[in-house]
Amino acid sequence: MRRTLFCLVLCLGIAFRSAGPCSAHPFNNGYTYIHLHENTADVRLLLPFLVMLQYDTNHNQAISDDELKAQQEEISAYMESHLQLFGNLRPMTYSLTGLKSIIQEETEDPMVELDFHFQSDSPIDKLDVVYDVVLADVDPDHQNFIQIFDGQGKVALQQVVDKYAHKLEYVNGGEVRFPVDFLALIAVLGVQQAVKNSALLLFAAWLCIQPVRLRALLKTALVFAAAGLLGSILSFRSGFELPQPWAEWFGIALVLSLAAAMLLRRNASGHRFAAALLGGAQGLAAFRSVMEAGVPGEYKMIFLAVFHLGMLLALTGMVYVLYTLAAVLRGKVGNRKKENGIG
Amino acid sequence: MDNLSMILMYLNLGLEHIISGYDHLLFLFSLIVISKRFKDVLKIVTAFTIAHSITLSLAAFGLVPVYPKWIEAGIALTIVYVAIENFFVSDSGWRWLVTFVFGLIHGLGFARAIGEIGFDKHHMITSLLSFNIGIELGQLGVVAVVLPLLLHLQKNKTFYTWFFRCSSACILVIAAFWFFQRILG
Repeated sequence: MRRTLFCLVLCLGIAFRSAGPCSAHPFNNGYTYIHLHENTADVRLLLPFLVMLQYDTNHNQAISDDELKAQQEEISAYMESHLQLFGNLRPMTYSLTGLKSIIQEETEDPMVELDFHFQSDSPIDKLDVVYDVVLADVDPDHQNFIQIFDGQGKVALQQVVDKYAHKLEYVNGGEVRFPVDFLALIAVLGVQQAVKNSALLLFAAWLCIQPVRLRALLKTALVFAAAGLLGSILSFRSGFELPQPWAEWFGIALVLSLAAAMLLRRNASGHRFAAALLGGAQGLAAFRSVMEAGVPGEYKMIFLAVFHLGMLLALTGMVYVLYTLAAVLRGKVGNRKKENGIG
Repeated sequence: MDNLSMILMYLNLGLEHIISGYDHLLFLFSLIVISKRFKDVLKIVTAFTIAHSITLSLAAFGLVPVYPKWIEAGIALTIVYVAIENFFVSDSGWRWLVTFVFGLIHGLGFARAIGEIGFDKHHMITSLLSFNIGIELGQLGVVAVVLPLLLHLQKNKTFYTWFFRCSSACILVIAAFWFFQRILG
């Protein structure tokens, strides 16, 4: 009873401590609506207060119209260099037409609304957008959902820009297609990363010398992949990235300590827990490499799932081959022992 | 955009929303933490799915109004209620009913979350369905990871008793904080 009460008080303390900074949803997403006309583009950019607090001069965690008006020139100069539109590969002329603090109608979120007018000297056949707003200097985990509307007001393109992919390309009248081939490439990347990973190879070898059935080992591989996906999601949401060599060294140290424990205690429990740890670490490290491969931000979860499916396939393959080899070796050793009359 | 791009984009949005919607995840966790049978969890998840699909669809078609501040505060209150209830009940057999009622509020929360992007007006049903499927897949993924862990922990009854009380107490504190933050913020 005392232990329960102690734990209860401890957990409540931790919860009180963490309830302050925790929030139910990420509040650092921005939204851009681009209405494309023949020679011009009208852009409406919505940014949450959280990424605009550098303009909060009275430090009340809110941005007022007066604060924006007082810093309009500074904001305009910043936006001109951090939000660029190119019509047919030529820079479009920029002008800030509106700047105000609003409460977003659908969500009631307080936001800063910036309106721009971009002019091209010829009809726009191809539009390129380079978005660097707040990414490098304020919040590297910021992402912006960009929607481009054609002359009829129909959504022609939706794309997410973030620190990994901050450029967008749209060909007027062209249809945007889902990159199916690239999905297959990402699965191959998952296989490649697993095969090249020495920690994973060691882990597969360690698994195969366990006195367990192949089915149980395949379940362990599934745990590894699920933990990997969770690790990548954690990296995406928290912005924490584990360097790949660290993840690999962690894996090697883990397998070596498992092997040492097996030699000392003569039992081999906890391979699923180890798989979860190893998978989590690999997932934390893999997120960056997957995104840097050029994954479109608006499909990031699907690509991450496919990448970890590739890793799962590779680990399953490794386990299957090594298990078969181990079984053959065990059979030979058994036969030799029988021939020599041992055991 | 071709149909496949649109379907997968909304599916991705649904997935992203559920995995970063910590309030929905906490609600789901607090519901299943007392479950001892897979059948009960299945009932809870199904009730939640049906309920939030109803209100999400109604809100998407503009048939029910969405008041973000009140809905968000309401979501926090649903979590507070379930966390408190966890201290007084031991059976989750009938929990699907509470889940259904509260799921209706969470559905409006999902509608609010997609407010800035909106559904594709030219492919309303397809985009709505894709977003919903994304939410379901994310939800099932979370249950698939959490449930085996909970069932494993339940093997040690003494440990599970304090784990279950402590987690419910933490959920209660966090949800109460969210409620006041949302209502006063």
